[in-house]
Amino acid sequence: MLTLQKVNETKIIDELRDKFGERIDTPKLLRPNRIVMTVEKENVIEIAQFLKDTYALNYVASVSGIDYLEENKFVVVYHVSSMSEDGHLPLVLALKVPVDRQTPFMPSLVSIWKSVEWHERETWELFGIEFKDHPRLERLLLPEDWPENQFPLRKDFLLEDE
Amino acid sequence: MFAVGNAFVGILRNVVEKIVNVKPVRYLVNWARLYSLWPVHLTTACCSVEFGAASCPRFDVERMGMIQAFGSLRQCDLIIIEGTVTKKMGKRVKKVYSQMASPRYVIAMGACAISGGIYYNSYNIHKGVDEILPVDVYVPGCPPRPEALAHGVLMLQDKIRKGRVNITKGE
Ligand code: SF4
Repeated sequence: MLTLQKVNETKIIDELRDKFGERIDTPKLLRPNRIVMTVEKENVIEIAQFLKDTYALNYVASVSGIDYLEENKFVVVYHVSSMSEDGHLPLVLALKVPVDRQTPFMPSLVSIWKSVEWHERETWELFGIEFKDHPRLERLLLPEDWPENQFPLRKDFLLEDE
Repeated sequence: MFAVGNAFVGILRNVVEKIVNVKPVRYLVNWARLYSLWPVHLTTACCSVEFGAASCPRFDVERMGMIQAFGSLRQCDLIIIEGTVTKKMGKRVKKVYSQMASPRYVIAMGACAISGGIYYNSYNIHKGVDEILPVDVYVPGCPPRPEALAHGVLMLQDKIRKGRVNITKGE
């Protein structure tokens, strides 16, 4: 287990590069305590498990979607941090997973981090990104009678008066 | 048999309503109603912070006759819509309202409850709670100060004081 003092971001990045090589796209240090990296959805479960086991990154603070309309893709961003017994590590790791815009789906990470359960539901209903093997993919914030195939946070969703 | 009974109840109601609306009696009934407003504790958005402040000692609307927010809907006769009502929450608000005993009153608090406020063109918002509930008093502001809410309560009391006592429709 890491302790507060021992967090060394460059060491973590090097270790990740050594272990996963090409499978992690450019892990980099954005600023102190903030690592950003992109992984393919095929590898995400393995890498997430590794992060949790090795660095005690056991808490997902947020899951959000980004709609890149021009590049025809979504990116799902998991902000992972730690609530370990050694105290709240200051490190926050942004795990980006690009998904195709036409058939948006990726594996659910609920099996690794319990706290993503409702975050993924929210991302599902607002962006239409399907999380495979999610235990309970139901509407969270939208009303129950919300029409299918309308995803309000997509860039091509028009609000009234626009 | 039922028809006769119903007719009898109808006549009785009319008679009672006549009696209740005789001026001194009406004054007493309204007086009792307007100084014991029990608000529902239903927080829909950020305006609730000011609602909380209004019940606390510094502003203390209780001295005007609005009791602090209480648990049971059956005892409540005032619902203050504290800000934004999303479409999902709208269904719940309606449910809460229909469980309250009549006479029941609605105060729409804040720009969001009045017209949607800063979220006026959101995908998930009722543009004003009057889309779903009959609002008695609007309290504008974003958020309204506790004094403004107190003023709204006073206006509602004025409305009750001057109003007819209607028992047939239960409103
Ligand atoms: S009126 Fe302002 S304070 Fe009240 S709920 Fe709306 S945004 Fe929040």
